[in-house]
Amino acid sequence: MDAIADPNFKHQGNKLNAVEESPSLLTVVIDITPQLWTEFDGKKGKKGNILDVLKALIVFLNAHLAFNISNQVAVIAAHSQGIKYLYPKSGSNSNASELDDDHNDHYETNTDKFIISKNMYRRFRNVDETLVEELYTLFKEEKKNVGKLTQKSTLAGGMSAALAYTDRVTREMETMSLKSRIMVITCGSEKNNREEIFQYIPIMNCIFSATKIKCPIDVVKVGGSKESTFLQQTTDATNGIYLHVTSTNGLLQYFSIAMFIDPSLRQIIVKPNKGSVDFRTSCYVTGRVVAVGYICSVCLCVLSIIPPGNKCPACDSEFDERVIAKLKKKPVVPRLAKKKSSGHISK
Amino acid sequence: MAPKISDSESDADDVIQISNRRQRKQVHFDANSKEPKKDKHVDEKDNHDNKVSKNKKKKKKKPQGNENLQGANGGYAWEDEIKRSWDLVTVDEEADMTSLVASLIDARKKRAAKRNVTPYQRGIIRTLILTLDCSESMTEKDLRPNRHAMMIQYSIDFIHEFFDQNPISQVGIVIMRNGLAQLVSQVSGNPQDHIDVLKKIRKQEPKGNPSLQNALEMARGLLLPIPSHCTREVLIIFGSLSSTDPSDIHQTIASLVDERIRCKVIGLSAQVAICKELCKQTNYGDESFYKILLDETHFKELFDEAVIPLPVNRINKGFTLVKMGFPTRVYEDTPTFCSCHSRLVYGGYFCPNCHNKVCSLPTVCPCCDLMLILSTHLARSYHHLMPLKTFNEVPVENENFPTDNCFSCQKTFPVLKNNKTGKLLTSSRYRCSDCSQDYCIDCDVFIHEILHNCPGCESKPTI
Ligand SMILES: [Zn+2]
Ligand SMILES: [Zn+2]
Ligand SMILES: [Zn+2]
Ligand SMILES: [Zn+2]
Ligand SMILES: [Zn+2]
Repeated sequence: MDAIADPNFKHQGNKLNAVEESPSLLTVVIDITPQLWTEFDGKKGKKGNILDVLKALIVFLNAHLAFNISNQVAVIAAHSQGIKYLYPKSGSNSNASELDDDHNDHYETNTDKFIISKNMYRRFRNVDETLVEELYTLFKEEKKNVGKLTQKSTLAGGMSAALAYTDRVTREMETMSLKSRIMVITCGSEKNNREEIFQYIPIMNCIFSATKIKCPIDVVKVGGSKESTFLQQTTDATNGIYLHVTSTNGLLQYFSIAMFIDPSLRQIIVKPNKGSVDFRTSCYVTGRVVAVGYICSVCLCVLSIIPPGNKCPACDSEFDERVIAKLKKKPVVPRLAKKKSSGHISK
Repeated sequence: MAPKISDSESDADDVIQISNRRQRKQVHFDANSKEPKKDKHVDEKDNHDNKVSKNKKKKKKKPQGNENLQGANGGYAWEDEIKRSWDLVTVDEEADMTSLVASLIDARKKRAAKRNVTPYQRGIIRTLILTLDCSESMTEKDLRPNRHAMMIQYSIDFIHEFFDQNPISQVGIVIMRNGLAQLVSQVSGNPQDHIDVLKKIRKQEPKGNPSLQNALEMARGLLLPIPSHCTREVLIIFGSLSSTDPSDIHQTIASLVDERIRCKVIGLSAQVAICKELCKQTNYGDESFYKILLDETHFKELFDEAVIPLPVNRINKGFTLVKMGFPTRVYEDTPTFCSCHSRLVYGGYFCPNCHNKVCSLPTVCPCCDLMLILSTHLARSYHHLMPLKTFNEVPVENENFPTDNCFSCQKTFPVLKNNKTGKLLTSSRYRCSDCSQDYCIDCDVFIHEILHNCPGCESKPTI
């Protein structure tokens, strides 16, 4: 619980023994819901912001791979209809995705692969090609999904999968003391707030499991409002970095400055997210922000008022009347005279 | 100078007073015979340290020395054939993998059985008094390095796990030593305090007799002021076979029942009648709260069981509203004193009621007695209230599975075929009934034990 309670006010022991050589796994969860990005494009008056992000991401992934020969990456896309692994490719093994040149011949016509040069370092190319390829198919699928119903963001699902993947790789590479972290890239939207409500519990669960497996979650939010309550709480609790960027210009620099800070150095370096985090909750009944509230001891829902009928509005359990009566009681102000006399005695 | 009255009249029929450790081992199995322990061997597989072989050596020696002790038709544990962990994997000619796969499935079933998916109303806000036996019997070396050291180590793990799962709960620690009950750690919600105390106790030599009654009375006293919306629980680790009590322990038990204090006992030796009665009485006739450990792993499991909050009992209703404060965090350029430890710290949390600074949460405001928590602490307990459904194993019949990869970790599902017939032995896929996605066994375990989220369900765009 310590880590969740508050990572900022405690001396976190000497975790500096993590040697530079230990390999690390970077799992990126990127929200590519077209609606969000189109909205963002519209606001910026510039098309294709997502491509800028993806370009920066690919370079970032390559940089991560370049740091250490055993470093690994994984990319999960949260799209409008679900989640999809972009790398490692579904159906292939993470370590053995050796792509032959001729194997990819029919993709050569694909104009989206302009980033990839044939002479590129093998490990980079494996990742880049798979990523671009999978993205291409994903975007084609997304075209068909335009009219389909989307009620909530699939980001929580992507984060859950990322944690499961991290757990798997950590287990497989137990002997190598693998470090891991998760990076979430999302696009801000004005409408987002509504969606966040449905994601509260799943994201909270992700936070707890991330702290448990000691995997920081970094968040990059592109555009939209500066705050993102749950994602900020995520980075705060997991010792991650929250970064809000207003445009996609120079994103790569942001990535390489803010996101490459080694977890063992994070206590020393001033992180971009140092600031206040909104921890308040809202009342179940009135929706107001609660500072001092009541909690149902059965379902733990937060109420700002004593509910009518002495019944929990969320779980219907009836409350003990005596306790309610006690809570309703107004504070008794002791008479002034009495106070004076007691003061005399103490003197 | 407490008069040493052992309640022998009540244990006489149940307790077999033996000091011999090996004989006690046999009693263990008898005591737990009701409980099916078939799956136990699966666990022992991981446990194949040299301890097994060591035990074997010892056990072989003993009957040679005193042959007159041997019973005619067995009955002594040391006469049983030793089961080595590696004997369990039998390679038969039919299919070399069959048994291995079977054990895999067993392990899986065992885990599944452990999970409780009924959405109970549970007492989330708990108060638990951890009562540790620090009497002479704890110096026994049947647990490595000895009972005392192992108990303390597991208690530390327990405290970590307990506060991880029950962030808004409180714990106090009492030890039974020299016939006295000693409060070593006050009831509080700060795990670090308890752990520091436990580390100190680790260095203390266990001494004298334990007094169950004294400990229970002390626990009762500690739990009395606890408000009714909290559960009142006592967890006792009991290593001795007798208790040295100043007066009638049955009266104490009766008063515990009145106060709705629920006791759970983990026995390290044989079953003790008074513990059995204590657990039965305080848990509304449910005897499952008294468990005797079989080995180290089982000890750990018993501790883990105590982490999960108890379902709210019909009789033990305590539905209330609890007043709590949600403080905001502040950063300061100059350090100021916190009211909880009087230490200089940069920033902290301000109590919304009295604007007094505390440095860590959850806590009770030292000024106005308001419980201060973060909303995240509440969220930590949600999975107890809304447990995730158990995933079902996909039947093997049709070999056309929709996917070859685990939905959440992309691992390719293993193909375990019978060598001769070529039939699939198991699908190795576990499916969520809501989103019909398939998961590998490792993800299944991870999802149910740590994550508490189904990645498939979370990635559905509709609610
Ligand atoms: Zn409720
Ligand atoms: Zn303090
Ligand atoms: Zn206060
Ligand atoms: Zn898996
Ligand atoms: Zn599901």
